[in-house]
Amino acid sequence: MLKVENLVAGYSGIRALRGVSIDVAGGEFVAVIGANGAGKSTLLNAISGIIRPTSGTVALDGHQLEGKPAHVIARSGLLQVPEGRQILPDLTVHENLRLGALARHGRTPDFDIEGILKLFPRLEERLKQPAGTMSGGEQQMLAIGRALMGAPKVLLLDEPSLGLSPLMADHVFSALVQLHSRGLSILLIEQNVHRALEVTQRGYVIDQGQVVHQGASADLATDDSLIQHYLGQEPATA
Amino acid sequence: MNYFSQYLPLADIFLLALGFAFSQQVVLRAGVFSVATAGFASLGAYCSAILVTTYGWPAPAAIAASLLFGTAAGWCLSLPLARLRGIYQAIATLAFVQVVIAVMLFATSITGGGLGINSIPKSVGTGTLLAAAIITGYVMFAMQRSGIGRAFDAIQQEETVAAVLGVSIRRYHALAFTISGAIAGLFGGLQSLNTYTLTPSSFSFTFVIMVLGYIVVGGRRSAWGPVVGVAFLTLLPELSRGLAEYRPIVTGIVMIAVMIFLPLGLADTFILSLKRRKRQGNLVEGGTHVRSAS
Amino acid sequence: MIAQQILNGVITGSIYALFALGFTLVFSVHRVLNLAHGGVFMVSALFAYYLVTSGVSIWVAAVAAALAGGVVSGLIEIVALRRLRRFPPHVMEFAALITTLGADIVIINIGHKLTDAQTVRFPFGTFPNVFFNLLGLRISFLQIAVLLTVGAMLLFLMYYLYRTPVGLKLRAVASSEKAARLMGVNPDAVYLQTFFISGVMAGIAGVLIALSFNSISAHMGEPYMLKAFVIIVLGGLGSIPGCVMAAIFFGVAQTLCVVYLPPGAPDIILYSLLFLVLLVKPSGLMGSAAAISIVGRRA
Repeated sequence: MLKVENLVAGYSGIRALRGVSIDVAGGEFVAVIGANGAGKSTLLNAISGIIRPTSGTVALDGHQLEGKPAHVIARSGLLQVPEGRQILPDLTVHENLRLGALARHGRTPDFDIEGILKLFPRLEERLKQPAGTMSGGEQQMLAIGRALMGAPKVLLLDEPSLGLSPLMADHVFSALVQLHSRGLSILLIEQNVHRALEVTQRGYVIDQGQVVHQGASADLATDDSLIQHYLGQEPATA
Repeated sequence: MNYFSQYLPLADIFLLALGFAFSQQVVLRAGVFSVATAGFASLGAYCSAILVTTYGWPAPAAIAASLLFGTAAGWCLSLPLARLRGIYQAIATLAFVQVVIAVMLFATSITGGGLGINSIPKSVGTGTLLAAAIITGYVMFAMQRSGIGRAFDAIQQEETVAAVLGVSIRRYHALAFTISGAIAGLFGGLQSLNTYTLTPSSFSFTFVIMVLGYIVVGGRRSAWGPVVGVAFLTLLPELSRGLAEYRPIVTGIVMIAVMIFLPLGLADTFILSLKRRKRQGNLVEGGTHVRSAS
Repeated sequence: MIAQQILNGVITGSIYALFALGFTLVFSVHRVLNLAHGGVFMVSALFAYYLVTSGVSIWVAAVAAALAGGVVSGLIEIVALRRLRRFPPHVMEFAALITTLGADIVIINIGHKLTDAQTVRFPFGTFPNVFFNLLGLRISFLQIAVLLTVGAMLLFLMYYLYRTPVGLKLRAVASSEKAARLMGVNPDAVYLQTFFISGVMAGIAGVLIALSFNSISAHMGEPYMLKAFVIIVLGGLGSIPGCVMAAIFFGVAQTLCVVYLPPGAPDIILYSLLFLVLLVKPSGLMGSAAAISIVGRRA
């Protein structure tokens, strides 16, 4: 469904991404993990068109997307939930959700506002309030809900658990699992390696702007030396 | 746009404009978006003109008074304004300029109102202007190399970083206002004793625009910026007569084009590209470090 | 007598509001003070003048002038601002002032050449010169038209911003351009639209103000630009209703000052007031109730 090949990109002359190839099949839940500064967010932003890749290809359902402006890529069904959520703080929750629907571009969404409120019941009582007044976890739910309103073919998530309490992160991850079970293709970028590998099917490890490892998430999760070496994290204790 | 009478020798036009451009640059350099130069210049000009015509002061004393008056005005204005930022500062200083113009129009008995002050004896020639411009330019160069220059740069680039580095933003903003007031007061005084007449509209919105234009075109950082900007905007159209009629239109187009293509201004872009070339030479030697930096 | 002065002040204020609404709209979406707004305003008035003198009715001329204003304003966005958005906000803020100033200088001087630096006037009887007496107050048909236009513009903007999908996009871009792009909103299109609407408003204002004072000159926008600064600050930087309230407040205050104070003094007082408001209450004089910036209901 989503096929990224040899993607090269960077900021102001520094090549943060040096030829990355990944793919996400229809209905698949894939993780990209890596240490801070490994190039994960650059990868997502290059896919979404926030930064323009210098070379390489991005294809969604066989349509080439690389080099197109971000809003065109979003309308074609590749919807990103950006790092730090980027909800529109001055707009109400309801308005934020309505905004998400603008990216549909003729596709029939699996979720309308009611469906999203079922997925995230906490948002219901907050519909009329400015999104900026909610907690970080609620904002993350809103950001995911907003992307779902746009009928994504592939949902891209950039560090959804960043800055959330463990309890809130649980809520978010279980919602993602639910979405996956309903057939949505998801590409998840996470620093929280253990949680990411728990919920996903496959994973890529990125280091210094390149894919250094890939495989089934369960296998990656048990490879302690890999995790220690590339991610600088202690192996799972729990 | 021709607030300088076209009968003035070209050198005088250039040198006066250069002085005002320095005054404008000091504030922009420090990250203060002030357009108060017009107000300071007006105060300085009226100060000298009134002292000479009404009270019969000798020219040097009157100009010294203008300098002091400008300095004081800059310092006073800095007290409230150093806390504002960006667009707020721009609008507040524009309000200051308007208040000065309105006061000059209103206080007819002292300033001559809309008719202004006429037949001011001409006691400032090209030589004096040149000396003043060179001294001001030297001060600007010296400041560029001193700690003040570095503090200004830090503030302009990133205020939070500057604050972390222990640079007191308010103090440096106040300093920038004061220096800007001093330079504008001085050159305002010089102008009124150079050009025979003075009206409130000599330092109006048009003046604000022209002076901003000098710095935008020339550059905000290097002391060469004002020189290049003033030369570009005053001398070039004057020298090519056919263009003189379209001078304002050319100025407008140049302002847009420079901001879009060379946002740092002519002088700064040139200096930066020289530095880059130097640095790139160094980078090739130490090229192995680049990878780990990414 | 005082009632008549207040009414005159309200009308003067409405004239300021006509001018300032489009200026405020651009500021609230872009955070850009479009210094070429006065130029657009002048171009439209001049365009209407040429149409009227070549035999077109004032109503048709006004519509054409409004559209012309929109087109010129859109061009300014494309030429002078679009390419600046790659800079970080604080650089963009400064650069935008300079490029719009440059655009204004170009427009004004083209107008200067077209009019030969003269003030031109609509032919006598272009607009029906009818007066009404209401409760002892005198008001002209044109003044009523000004009041109605301000009201209509305000209603239109509020409806457009808060009740239409386009308005939602616009507020999204104003709130966070990156997030809006990720939701499939094309910021270029939004900015262009904003400038077009702002230009149409400047155009309508240009024609009405030119009719009100029956004079059109290249520099006619400048005094209004200065007043628009005052109004945008008093109204709470980017609030649409705040803008109208501030404009009317300003108009009444100015009219009363002119009547009861010696000539020349009102300007000193009004600009000093602007200065003080910026120092004491940069969020605007109109209070938090009116400070509904277009991106939402800010406290």
